[in-house]
Amino acid sequence: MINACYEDAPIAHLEVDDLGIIVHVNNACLELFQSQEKMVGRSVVGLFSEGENGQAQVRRILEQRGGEAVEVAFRRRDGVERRAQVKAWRLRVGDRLQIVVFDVTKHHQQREVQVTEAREAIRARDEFLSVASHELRTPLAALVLQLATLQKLFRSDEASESNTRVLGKIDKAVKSTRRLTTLVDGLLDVSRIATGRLALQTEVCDLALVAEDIVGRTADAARRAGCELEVHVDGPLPGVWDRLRLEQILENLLSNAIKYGAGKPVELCIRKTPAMATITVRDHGMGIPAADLERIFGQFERAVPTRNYGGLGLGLYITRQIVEAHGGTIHAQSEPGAGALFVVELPRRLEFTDSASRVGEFTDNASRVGELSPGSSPGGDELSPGSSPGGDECTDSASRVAELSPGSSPGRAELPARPVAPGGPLAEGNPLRTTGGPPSQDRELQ
Amino acid sequence: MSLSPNVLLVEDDQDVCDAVSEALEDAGFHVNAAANGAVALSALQSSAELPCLVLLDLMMPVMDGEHFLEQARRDPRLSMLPVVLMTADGHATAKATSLGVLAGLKKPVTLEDLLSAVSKHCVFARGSKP
Repeated sequence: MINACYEDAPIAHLEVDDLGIIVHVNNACLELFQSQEKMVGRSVVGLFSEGENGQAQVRRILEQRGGEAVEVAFRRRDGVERRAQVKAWRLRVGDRLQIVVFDVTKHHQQREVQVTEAREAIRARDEFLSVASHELRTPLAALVLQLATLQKLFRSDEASESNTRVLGKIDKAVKSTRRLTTLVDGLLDVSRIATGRLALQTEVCDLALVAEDIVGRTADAARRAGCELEVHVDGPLPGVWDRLRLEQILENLLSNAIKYGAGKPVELCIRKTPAMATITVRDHGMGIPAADLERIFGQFERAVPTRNYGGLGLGLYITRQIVEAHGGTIHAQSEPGAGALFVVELPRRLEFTDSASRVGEFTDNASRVGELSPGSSPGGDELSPGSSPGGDECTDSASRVAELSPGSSPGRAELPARPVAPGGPLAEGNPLRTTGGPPSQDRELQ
Repeated sequence: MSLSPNVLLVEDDQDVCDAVSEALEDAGFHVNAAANGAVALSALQSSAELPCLVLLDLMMPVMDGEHFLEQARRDPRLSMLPVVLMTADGHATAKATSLGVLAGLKKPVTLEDLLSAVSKHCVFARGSKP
């Protein structure tokens, strides 16, 4: 009875000896391969195609007397090329090896169709993102200009109460168009990254100055969210970077910190070594569960429910792509309830500039500016060029995040920094603002 | 080459065209508009005076911005026309460099950037216009 079941079982089964020679086959096996005479007494390896290391894989399961199933190609008795999953095992030591062969051609074909469909869907999505962001920009361009013209018109008119009210409303509309522009830019960036078209326009620029700019732009949002912005910048900090993309890195990290750490201080530290710049942004908000620390850098990801916090979930994904395109790294440290720390390391790449003397000049001038105008940069008055001000504070606060227990708050008193006023006077009129670097070096992100 | 104090705006989107024209006119420039490269090319070829600057969109029906530039450069009279790009492609500056034009403005362009680019590159604007 059991023997009859085995012989007529719908799964091809073979029994082989220690050398891999076929001793017995069932009926399903005969349907799949050849007549009994052509199989019994021959090596089981010969039933399978040599391509894609098929025979080698079968040999391996023979040698191992079992193990993981392998997927190999074979030619069916009607001559058609098929795919099979082959599994071998022994019931007891000393027994012959039992081999089952599942014809998985249909499954394989379905999987290939699914992969092709998935690839096509991704391509269509990327193309849609690209077209959509392009199309959205056109009406946005008209809107931005019309509002700016209107703003100008009302500003030049005599100040009356109604004028002031209209101007207030236009200002709000302008702000909304800026947000819309940022969102659309995000979509375009994602489509560029997906298609490998994120190009960097690098030049020698000063990260310290870029940071001042962004801190000024973010100060209003920070104040509204009740976040005190503490800034330690070890400037000047020239490097070969894409200025606009640097702005994006800082803007994304700061706005994230303000968004998820509302009501508590946010710290930005920028330190340097001769070869590297390190940006750390720290908040004291809800923190990020350990399981999400890597996931948050993915596309459309976030560690919180989408309903509670707005945004497309693209900021950190884009930030990581930009950082990596610059040859840098980004990572997050956090514990739930203890805030989050984002650390960006960017190579300065000054050795790649074709006029080293110019860079030297740049650095010298920058130092001199610091000496001539004390107080013009946060912490700058206490510094001598080349020293590492705020650096220790950054390191301390950075290392402290790991020690934070949920609910504890690393008191501000431990971070001796001066909060920066919105649009603060950081190195105003610094002649180094001119980006007189060497010619741009474009690099495609692959 | 005889240049007039006009700016030629080549842009297919009517809303953008209106917004840019009005912003420039408010700032004291004269603006002529063309809906695509072909219209602009034929207007330039039939006109006695050339604009002081061409503000060129890239993606347009009939004749796009790149094709317009190719055609204009083949015409000795138009080959030296000052051109500034206005594009929704994020890499406006890189695109401007690769096409060999004066500058690239990224849409949405701010009023300040638009006026400063036009003032900088329109020879008639220098010193006299805003």
